[in-house]
Amino acid sequence: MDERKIVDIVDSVMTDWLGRTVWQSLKYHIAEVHNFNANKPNEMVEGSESFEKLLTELLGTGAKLIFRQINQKLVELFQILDSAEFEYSALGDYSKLIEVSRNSDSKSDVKKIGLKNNDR
Amino acid sequence: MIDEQLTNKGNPLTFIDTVKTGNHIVLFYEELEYARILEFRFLGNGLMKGEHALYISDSDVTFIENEMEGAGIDVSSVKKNNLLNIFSTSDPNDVDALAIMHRFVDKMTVEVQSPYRVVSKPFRNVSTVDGILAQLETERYWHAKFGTMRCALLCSHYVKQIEDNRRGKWISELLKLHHGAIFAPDFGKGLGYYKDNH
Repeated sequence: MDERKIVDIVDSVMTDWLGRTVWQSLKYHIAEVHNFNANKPNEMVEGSESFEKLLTELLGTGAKLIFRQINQKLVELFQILDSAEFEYSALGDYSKLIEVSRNSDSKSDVKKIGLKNNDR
Repeated sequence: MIDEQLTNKGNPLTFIDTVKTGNHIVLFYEELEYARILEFRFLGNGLMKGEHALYISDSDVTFIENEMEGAGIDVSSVKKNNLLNIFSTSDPNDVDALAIMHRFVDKMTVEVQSPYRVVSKPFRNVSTVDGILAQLETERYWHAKFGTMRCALLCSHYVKQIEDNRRGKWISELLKLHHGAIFAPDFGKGLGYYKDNH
């Protein structure tokens, strides 16, 4: 799995909801505070727990809406890649997801790391 | 389908109709026309219920009145009933937006005692560090005072006007000083929400 694809999806959804200027500003702010490079997809994905935490704190219920839509898009992406059907709680699971997708494409492995079944 | 449901749930136009007395909301916009639709709808919702309204911006008052008419507000009628006040900070007589706001709130509290709505552009020049810091102080003051006011306040910010070296930090700080927020990047897009505990 290419981290770039995940970052592109996150960027696209965030831009739709918050606007390009707000999202870019918040992204670089969070990356600076948590000391990672927002221009490097692997660092962005690894820093996803920081995003989840701060965006949840700042956006409250709004964050849940955004995360749900990101999850939907990622589910679509992984289905296209013939991966398992799943829904994970929020941004913080992206790095685990990538790790699993690198090592295995089986549904059981995805479940092992605690990702919830898609309950739509 | 689910995309559509999600979008409707957080839609700024749907959200603005839920804002009521006791809510202090920040609006971040990128398109002025979209912001005006939201601002006027917010005030119009209150005016329809007989609430007072104050609009503070740097635009010409007559221009704003015309825009409000275009948005469906019967300006002459609500002005006749003394329900609508519009101030322009570009007017040399009314340059101090903060003083205008104080006067209005005092009047509403002492004389009128009915619910009121305020839309205000930033009180300071937020494109500078000093300006945004002063604006944050003002927001902190109003937010702390909010429990004693019978007011719904919409603070409207043009995102690109906010000091850009640390814009993310300033946006974060502003978000912490409001009960909810609206992001209105473009027509048909955006998000409106309340914080969990409000």
